[in-house]
Amino acid sequence: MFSIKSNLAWWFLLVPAVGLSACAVPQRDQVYRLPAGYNFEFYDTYNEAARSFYAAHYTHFGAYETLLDYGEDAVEEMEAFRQRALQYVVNPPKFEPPAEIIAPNWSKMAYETGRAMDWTHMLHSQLYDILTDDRVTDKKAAGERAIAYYLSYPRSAFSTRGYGHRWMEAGGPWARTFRKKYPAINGILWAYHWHHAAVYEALMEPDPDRRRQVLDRVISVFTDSVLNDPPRVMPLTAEIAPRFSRLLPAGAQIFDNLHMMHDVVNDIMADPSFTRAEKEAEIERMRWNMIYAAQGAVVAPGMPMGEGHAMSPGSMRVPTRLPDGSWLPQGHPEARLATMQELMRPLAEPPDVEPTEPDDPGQADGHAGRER
Amino acid sequence: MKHLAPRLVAGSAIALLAHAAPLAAQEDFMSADLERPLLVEDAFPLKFREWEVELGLRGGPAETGSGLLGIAELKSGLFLNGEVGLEIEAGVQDSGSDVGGSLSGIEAVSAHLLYGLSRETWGWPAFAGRVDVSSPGTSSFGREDWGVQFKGIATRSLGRLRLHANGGYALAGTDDGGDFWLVGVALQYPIGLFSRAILGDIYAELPTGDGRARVWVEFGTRWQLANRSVLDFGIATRLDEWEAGNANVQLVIGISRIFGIPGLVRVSPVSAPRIN
Repeated sequence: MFSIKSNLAWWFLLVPAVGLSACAVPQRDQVYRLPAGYNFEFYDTYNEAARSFYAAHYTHFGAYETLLDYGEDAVEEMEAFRQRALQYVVNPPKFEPPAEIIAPNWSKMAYETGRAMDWTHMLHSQLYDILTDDRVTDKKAAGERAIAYYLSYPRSAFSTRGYGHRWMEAGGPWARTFRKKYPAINGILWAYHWHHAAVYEALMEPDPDRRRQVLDRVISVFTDSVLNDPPRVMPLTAEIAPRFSRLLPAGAQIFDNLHMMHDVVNDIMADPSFTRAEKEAEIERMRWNMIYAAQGAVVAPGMPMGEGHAMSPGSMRVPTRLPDGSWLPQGHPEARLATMQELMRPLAEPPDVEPTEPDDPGQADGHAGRER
Repeated sequence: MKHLAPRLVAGSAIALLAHAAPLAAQEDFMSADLERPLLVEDAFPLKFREWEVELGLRGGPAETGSGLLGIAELKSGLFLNGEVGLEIEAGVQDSGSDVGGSLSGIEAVSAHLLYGLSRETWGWPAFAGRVDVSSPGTSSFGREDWGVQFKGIATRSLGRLRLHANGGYALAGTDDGGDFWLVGVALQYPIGLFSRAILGDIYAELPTGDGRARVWVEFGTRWQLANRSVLDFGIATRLDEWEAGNANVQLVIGISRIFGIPGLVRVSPVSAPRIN
């Protein structure tokens, strides 16, 4: 047996371990997806549809990186970036490019937000897998299990509450900066938010042949029409995918909050009144407002209705509880239409109050907009 | 036997490629795992609950006779930011003469713990620490005694370029060459968005006692073959063995596959998450 000649070796581990632990340094804290037989079924079955999302991921993270590297008013660089993004629409990568490759500097600056986005992209992927895999007969149970696993890391999971457009329209002084400066790129991103939801709705088709037809149609409509004439407001999942949203209402709202956080980060990154360090802090503040861990305590702002604020008609349809106890999420065409006054008030329900059973399903919500 | 190693490497490469083609991961190609294909690694452990199996071959002709080392490793992200692994190395070594025959056997069975101490931030690299324990091998081919190795790892990204630095100390019996310091640096760069990366390193083991330094220079690539599979390929040379124009060049090839084990994950149901 060897003889230990020096204690120096131990210091290689002990000194940094104790030192860094004492400083409470940030960690990667990465978690693997929920292991399941359906994983990657969507990629394997509908490869073109699965790969069609990769340009969206590139556009989101690439915009952050371009604004960080070249400044908030980098018009030429952003146009060159837009052209590259459109190339990836036509010719997407074979595998989903990781955010740390697309936006290496931004990922160092806003790691926890990037991790939350990736974690939610993973949930996106698993719900597509579940809807694709015909061996999964109870889609709702499998979907709720995947969502429960996702929510078990509450600091990386976005809220299940129906915030609609509130945080992106009224979360800070940066609101709407990106869409005003870079409307063409913003249009690509909102078109992709439509695309994500439309694919869910296509996958709700029970018959595999019909499902493939509808999915092909969604991709055609996306590239031929939606991308050329993007939505004027950020679409909500329930507006585009009512059947999916009724099946998994929490999932629909998680995705809306993810999409809203993408917009929030765009706005902060494009606002020249924030320094780099202030952007880092502001993105982190907004992440804390919008994650699952904080949803019982935060109060979402009301919708400002002045010039430049826009929301889709469906946004006025607020989360609604049905007599059977199930829920319709924000934007669902059958959900209750809130008054403008309600939408302008903060979501101010005390966190410990459970929703009451409605007497009138048409007025089933009864909570959105209630003041403390 | 003289040409066995190159043939085995080439054959294994073809077999692995042929098998891997129909499979479908996306970020694993950017993992600089130890010996896949470099001797310098990154500061990133596996994700919590992620498992990975790696199979690899390292071999080539040398002045002292051709050799081939096979490596099989199973590792797991057993806890958050922590990874444990079990590795077995076995090989065959030609004596280089017509009458000397060859040696074969298990080089060592090793276990490791890799812990990510911190993530990369705007101002600091990511840091990790690693401990390896290796058992004696079989026959005269393998290790003679137990060995323990301690390593500190740092990873820093400059744009898409990643830099890895490893430094450590290895405790080894005198029959295995004695204790040594180890030090290495590596570069890693992704090729566009094609889920491929190129890597290169220089790695040295510096004996604390008598004996000269052992220095490797390596260059390689990692290709994402499928959503959960990565192929790695590299070429390595021992600079300290470059004598009289003869280089000791080795080829490295391997495949990695990540997976999860459903039975090991318990999901607590969330009853009606609040949506209003």
